[in-house]
Amino acid sequence: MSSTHRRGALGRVLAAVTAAGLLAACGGNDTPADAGGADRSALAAVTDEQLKGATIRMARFFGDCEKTTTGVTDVAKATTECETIQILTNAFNAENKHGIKVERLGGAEWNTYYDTLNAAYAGGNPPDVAVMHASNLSDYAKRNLLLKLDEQLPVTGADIGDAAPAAKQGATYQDGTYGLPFDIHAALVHVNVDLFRKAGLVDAQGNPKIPTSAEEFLADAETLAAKTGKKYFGTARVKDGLGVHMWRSLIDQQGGSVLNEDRTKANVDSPEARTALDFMGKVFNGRYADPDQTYDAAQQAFLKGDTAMLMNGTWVVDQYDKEAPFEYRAADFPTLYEKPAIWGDSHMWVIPRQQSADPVKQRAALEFSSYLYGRSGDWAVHTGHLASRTSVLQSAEYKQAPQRANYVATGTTNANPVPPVSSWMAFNEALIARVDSIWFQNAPVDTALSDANRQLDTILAK
Amino acid sequence: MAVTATTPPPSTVLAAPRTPRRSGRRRGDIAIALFFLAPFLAVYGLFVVWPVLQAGRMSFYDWDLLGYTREFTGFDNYRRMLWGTSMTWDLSHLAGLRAVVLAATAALVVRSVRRRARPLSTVGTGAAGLLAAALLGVHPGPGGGWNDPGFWTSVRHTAEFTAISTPILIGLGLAMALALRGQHRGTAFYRAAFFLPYVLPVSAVTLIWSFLLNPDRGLVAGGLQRLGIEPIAWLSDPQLAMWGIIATTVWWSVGLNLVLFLAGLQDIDPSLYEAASLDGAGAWHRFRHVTVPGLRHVTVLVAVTQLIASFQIFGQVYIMTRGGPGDATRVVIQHIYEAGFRNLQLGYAAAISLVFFLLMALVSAIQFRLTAREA
Repeated sequence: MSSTHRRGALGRVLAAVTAAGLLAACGGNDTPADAGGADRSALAAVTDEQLKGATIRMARFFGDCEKTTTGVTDVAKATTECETIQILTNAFNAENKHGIKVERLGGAEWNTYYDTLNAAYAGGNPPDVAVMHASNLSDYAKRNLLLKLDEQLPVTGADIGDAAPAAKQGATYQDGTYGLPFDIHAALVHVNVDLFRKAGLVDAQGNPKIPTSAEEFLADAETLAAKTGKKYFGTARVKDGLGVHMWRSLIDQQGGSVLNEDRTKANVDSPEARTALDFMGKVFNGRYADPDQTYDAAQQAFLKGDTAMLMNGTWVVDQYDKEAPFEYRAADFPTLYEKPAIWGDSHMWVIPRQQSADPVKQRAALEFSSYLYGRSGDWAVHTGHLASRTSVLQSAEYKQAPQRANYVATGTTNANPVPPVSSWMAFNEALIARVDSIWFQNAPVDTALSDANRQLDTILAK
Repeated sequence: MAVTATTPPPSTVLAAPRTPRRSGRRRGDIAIALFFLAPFLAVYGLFVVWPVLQAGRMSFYDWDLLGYTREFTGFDNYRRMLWGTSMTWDLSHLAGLRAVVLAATAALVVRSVRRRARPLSTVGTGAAGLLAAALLGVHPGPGGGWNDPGFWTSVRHTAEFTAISTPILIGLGLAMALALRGQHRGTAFYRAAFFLPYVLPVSAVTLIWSFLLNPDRGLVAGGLQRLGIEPIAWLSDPQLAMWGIIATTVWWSVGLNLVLFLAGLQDIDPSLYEAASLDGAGAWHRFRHVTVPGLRHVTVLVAVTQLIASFQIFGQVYIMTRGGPGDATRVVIQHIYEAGFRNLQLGYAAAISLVFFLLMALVSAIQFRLTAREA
């Protein structure tokens, strides 16, 4: 209920369709789909004189941190995602030879970011450059809302061939490149080595023994539970998608997929899906893992030493490395079936198409995106994410950063980007809802999986 | 007889044409009224009527939030929302709910007959009730399913939230008003204290309650632990999450009901209580025969507005549980929001909005009719 919810009965009834009103108001954009493009010659023809003083608007999430970054251009001082991107932006503004200025639009939280971006598009006023997840890219590329970059990249010399396979796949839609990847972020396991040691689950060098099969996983879980009384495993399944990411990764590890081969139909009701569900049912039984943890609760349990191995993203590596009151180790997510696979995604920089293309702003946006692509190593070193470029992932400097050498394989081979299908957000939300209904509402597996297939097929048919 | 012959019957008097002078004055009154109403009507038309009409149009299109092509799809959005595969009908489906609908219909019809309501109204009520009971028997058969199970789940949760929270908010508001009426020591403080949450924004309210209900660090968990009870993950348990949201909502908005009931209590003539006391009425009888009738207008106002407000539950759910765990707290406005703004399916979201609007209008009309007549 909103705070205005008691201002008269008639008004209240009609306010029920406020959403419809909002929706209606957002439906008036009649821009033709092919407007706002630019060819290579147009961007290449932009002169330094034209670029001088060009101002572009950037949309991003990662938070607000103006107090600690105003005037700072040395990325070595960054300690968070926000500080890193803001300092890199400051550095670009201060150092770029063209005199381009990047202004940041409002909005800081990633979970409302796309609502804001969609509203900007619907209002006909998208930003000049925007950060985007690989998993969202197809929704925009399909609608011809992003500048295709294949022809443009030679203008700034950005070498997309150096992108790590997962990052490159994430930036690609139907054989076209629509973004410059900034990172790969994926799920890892974060290990409390002290608890592993206490349970005897370490090798001769004292390294934690990461299981290599589902059976070994369950046996180790029982050993650790019996010897320490703590939970072997943890992840956020409530109000978060990590649990379903794990389930989908286990399907991928068996060679299955939630989509059929040509990605036109859902394939959720499969033997691989049932095997993964069965395994997770055994893990999240209350003894080996708490089944009802939110992101915050799962993290707190790990940092308090109540969970030995936490599935969480790359973005917490530096935080845990500094804060954990025990010996901490980051590691690739275990491969429990035939082949390595773990949920991964990628942040990338895209150039939204405008109703009326301005080659100067597009060139400026391309210069900025290329600059950030070139600094993806700095981004990765200061955030915990995996660098988006193969050359950086293999560099000694990158591997020397805390924990980074322990999960290089996640960046080079294991991370499995979401399939490049349109309406992925709708697909993923429906998938999470149906799987959650099995976990939390005791929905029969047969019913939930067949419901999921039907619902997902409807979404894919759009 | 002569008198009879020269006096027109009453109906003739009523039907007599107005004099030009009176008619002209009436037209002038209407013009003045329209003049003063024009700003409101303009805003109302622009921001309420037009969007509703536009939403009606959009609901017949595959209307993409970001796309530039719109395809007319007829009733496809409505079919997706309200229909499924292998649909069937049987008598036993939702038998309990249908029995309630039939019983309510029978009660309404009997009441209409006793009050000698217009026959058309009585027949219409009965037919609508029977139709609703019959439609509740439609469901997906074996191997089938709803095209959009999330819609039905959200409708069910919204109805449950409304059915539970509305009586609590009305009853508690009235009880608190009775306890705090009069000028006793501390009543002003308590009135202000109970009303205060209502002025807070939903983000602050949900933050407070998310902390309170946190099983690791929350005040509720701490209190329970002192009693030897293990912390309860209120918002992570599908059986309890909706109760957590109901508690939050009651704490947030019961203050306004308290104020409305207090105002209503002040309007009751104290001499009625004195007269009742002199007649030997005890506290219960004074409440039953003086307070309750005296509060009928306020009760209708509170009940209708509260019902509509409860139907529109969204902010608390979206911030505290995002509709989870699973979809245990998913509600209709969330479904509309996600369909339109997350899944970019504006036409489908518009269709759900309109169906929900009609459902709310219907329930509100029934409730208003039941309670307003008595008031």
